[in-house]
Amino acid sequence: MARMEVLPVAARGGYGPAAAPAWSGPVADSLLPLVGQALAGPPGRAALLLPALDAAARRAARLLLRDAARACGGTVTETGFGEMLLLGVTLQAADRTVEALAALGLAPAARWRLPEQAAAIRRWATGTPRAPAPPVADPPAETEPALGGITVRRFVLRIGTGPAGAGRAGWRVAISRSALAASLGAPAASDPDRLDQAMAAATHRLVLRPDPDLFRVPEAEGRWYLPLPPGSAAPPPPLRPAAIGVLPPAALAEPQALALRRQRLRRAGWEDIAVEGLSAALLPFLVPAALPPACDLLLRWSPWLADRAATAAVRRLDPARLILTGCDAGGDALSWGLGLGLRRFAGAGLQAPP
Amino acid sequence: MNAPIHAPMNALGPAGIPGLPLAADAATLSALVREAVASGLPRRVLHIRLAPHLLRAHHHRLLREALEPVLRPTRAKLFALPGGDLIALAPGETHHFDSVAAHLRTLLAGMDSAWDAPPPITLLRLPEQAVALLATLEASLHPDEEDPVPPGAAALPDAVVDQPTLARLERSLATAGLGAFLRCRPVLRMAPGARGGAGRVREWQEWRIATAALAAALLGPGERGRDLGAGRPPGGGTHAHGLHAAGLPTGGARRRLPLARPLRTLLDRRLLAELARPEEAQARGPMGLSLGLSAIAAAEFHRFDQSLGPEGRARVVIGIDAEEILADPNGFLAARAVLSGRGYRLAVNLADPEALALLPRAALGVELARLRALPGVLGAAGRPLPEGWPPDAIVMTGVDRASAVGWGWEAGITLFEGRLFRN
Repeated sequence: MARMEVLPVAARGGYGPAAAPAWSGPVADSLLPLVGQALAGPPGRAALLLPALDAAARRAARLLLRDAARACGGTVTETGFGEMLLLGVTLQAADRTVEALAALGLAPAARWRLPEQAAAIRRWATGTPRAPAPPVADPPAETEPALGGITVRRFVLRIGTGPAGAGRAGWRVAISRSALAASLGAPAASDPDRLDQAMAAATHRLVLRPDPDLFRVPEAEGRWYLPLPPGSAAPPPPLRPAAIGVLPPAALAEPQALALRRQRLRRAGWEDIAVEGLSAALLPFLVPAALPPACDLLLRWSPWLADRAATAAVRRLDPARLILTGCDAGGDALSWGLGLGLRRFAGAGLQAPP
Repeated sequence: MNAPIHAPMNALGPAGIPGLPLAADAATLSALVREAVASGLPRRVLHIRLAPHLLRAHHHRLLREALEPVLRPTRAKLFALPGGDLIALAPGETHHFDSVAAHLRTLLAGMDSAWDAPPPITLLRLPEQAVALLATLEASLHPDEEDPVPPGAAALPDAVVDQPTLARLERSLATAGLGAFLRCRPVLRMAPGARGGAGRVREWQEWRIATAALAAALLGPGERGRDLGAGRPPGGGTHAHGLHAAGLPTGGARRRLPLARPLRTLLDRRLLAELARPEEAQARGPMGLSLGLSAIAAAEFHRFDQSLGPEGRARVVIGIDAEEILADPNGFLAARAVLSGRGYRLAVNLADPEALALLPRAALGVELARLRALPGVLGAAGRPLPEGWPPDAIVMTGVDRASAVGWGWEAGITLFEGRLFRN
């Protein structure tokens, strides 16, 4: 069940690319009439096309698009491919929407002026062969069995001073959200609630019934960062020595409960906890001094971390506590992290040292 | 501080329904029931249960007109409970009550234009059934967040809603009108030293769906005691809390379940659909509600939004759980842009006062924090609030004991909501 997987590059705050086949939005048979309608409307309007996004990003983008549509009588259409089309909004509203999307690290795939670019939008609407929407199954029933296909990713955790001279600090294990989404199929894959629920269930399964293959790697010693399900009552026994339980960022909402959980996990044999999910998007919403004391913090790499404000926020954290995750092969993450005094990195882009 | 909180319910609850032959309040009735038990003297009790949406002067007038003539020969006393129920208590073995009940049922069924279904009438016998009646009284004096779980229902410690049940619930909820499960409670501004209701100003009403009652209604008797909202996060309402989840010995611990998330969204959407009904929307006045990010992105929210108008929006406080903000900061950013842009007031829902220090108010861009008053989590009173959180920016929710009010007052907080305070 556990197999290695190349990790997708995360956008800001962890919005990754969509799991390709899973979308269930209305099929855009009616795209052309809609486009025709928008073109027949008042001039000086715009259309935006958003690419397929993962469930959470899609939810956020849909909110912004619908808001723009409501403000000036436009429409939002979701195609069978998971794209979203905003039609018939004023140019200013389109600008504002693009700005708001950019704040989330999202960008439209196309932007058309209406009616000047009528030909281009017509070409798009007719050009792509529209796939039929996948059949909509009874949603709740399929969630549980589909979890059989969870994909566990195992990353080497590196320690070092440079891309060349690096040693290994341990391992990080994570469940692939995009693979899980793909295995759930439509419509669950496009529903962040269901995806969260499936992630929690998969994490439960991973912790309670781990696949022994997971730990069968040469040089398995070192610390292992393993995901813990949210809010489980009794701490499970640690899967192996030197296990660190990694909690989702939502656990920060209840500092006292978190402290208690940490205490109980330690008593049950875990080495400590760590908190994951710190990101360029989340950092502005946290007061660094109030983060739980002395535990590791997993910081998710994205190019937005290199922004001045985000970098300043990271500087207020003790670099010795930070592990930069999602590091790519390109080395941007490493050089940024090393520049800030970080020494531990994880990601599919990093190879285990020989 | 004890005085205003534990004062007789008249000080807190409604002073009764105008025009009703209010013999006494529920406290007096409790005393009479206990007396009947102690003395062993038989009494008959007739209980008319009224759903909250029937609590209107109009309905009570109808009921009074129906009740007065039939009760007169029985020497019965009529009591109006704070929750709106009517209870008639008569001395002796009044077999007459049976025919009274039958008569009333016919009468109420004949007035069916006034309600969807006639209010249920129960006949009880004292002293044998005193426990059931006292439970009703207790519930009306201290209504739980939810409707009381019927006696005898086994409360499941792990309120697990399994997949088939979830599917069943989703199907029923997608179409059901939930008006009967709509609940609201005031947020009061209350300064320390205010006595017996003086100086309490209602700032707005918190609206929600009574999930326990809904579960009982939808899942049937075998499933009672389950609470659909068991997975709901803290500030929003009612139920299980992280410390329960973490295993603190807090009594009937209920687990927080990720499984309930889709269900929560569904309930949020149904709540919005109810609140958007045009005939009601105008009359509601300032309101507060807690929503998940998915619900804000749903079509129901847009209809709710449209029913409000610009002035209405400025009088609505929308609470978002801290957990959701932490889990999806970008989603929150989008929701905030839309909500603030439309003029709503924003709040973050918290269950742990220590989280205030972690979450900077200015950066979050929220006006308020809804802090759930959980005993054992509030901690010692008298500690100052963290920087950036003035006492005026905090609403204590789910207040069910005086000590929580005391804790709030020590911190300078004056906004409270909870079962201690009724409309």
